[in-house]
Amino acid sequence: MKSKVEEFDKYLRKFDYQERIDMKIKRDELYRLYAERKLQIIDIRFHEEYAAWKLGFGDHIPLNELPDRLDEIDKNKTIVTMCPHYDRAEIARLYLKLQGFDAKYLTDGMLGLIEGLRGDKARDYINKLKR
Amino acid sequence: MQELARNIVPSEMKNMRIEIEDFVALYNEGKCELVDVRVPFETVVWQVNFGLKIPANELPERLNELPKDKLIVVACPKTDRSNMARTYLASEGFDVKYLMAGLLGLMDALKGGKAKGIKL
Repeated sequence: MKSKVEEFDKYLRKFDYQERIDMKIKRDELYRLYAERKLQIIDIRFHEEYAAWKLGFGDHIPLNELPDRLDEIDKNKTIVTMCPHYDRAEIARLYLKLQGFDAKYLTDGMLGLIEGLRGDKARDYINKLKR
Repeated sequence: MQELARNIVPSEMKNMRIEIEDFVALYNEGKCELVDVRVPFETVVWQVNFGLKIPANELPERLNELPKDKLIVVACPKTDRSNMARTYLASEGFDVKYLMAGLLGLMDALKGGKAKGIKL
């Protein structure tokens, strides 16, 4: 088996304009694909951050626990990693990508995600998820 | 309400709103309570795990749930609804301010190691 460093070498050599687009997902696309059950979304923040506030949907696996919890990741779905902005989410995405998962990071971050779910938009999205 | 209106001057604004940093400090000292006034649909999609959840439109029936011995800090995602809720609660005699930068600002302020800064 090739070492992970070699996997990383291979990934970087193949990195192109398309991968630059494919590695990201915006919030509107996330709302839509998650409602279609095509995504597993993972909040990768630390436990203290999760204790302060959280989303009402998706999973929580802190970044530093990811290597030991890969069995909780769905191989049949696109994985979306997210943190308040996107720096840690991108580390998580790259890690999952090198582990063979189809992974993207949320460019809007969790702060952008909740900003898009204010007022009536929250109501409309909850109703969409129930369908 | 007339007295409230007479106080709408620049020098009084600091008594109507509170900065996030000051809110966190007072909250940790047990001197204020957060009241999330968003509607239930909003608190289903994302939750603040501390403070009270009382939708703004239920405030008139639920005033008894608010502490009388603490500063009440009302908050919504930004500041429009919280500002109206503050005015209402002030007219009901509460010591109340609205959270500047809103819940979105508060969530932003609680990222990374800063999440350890609030005592839950």
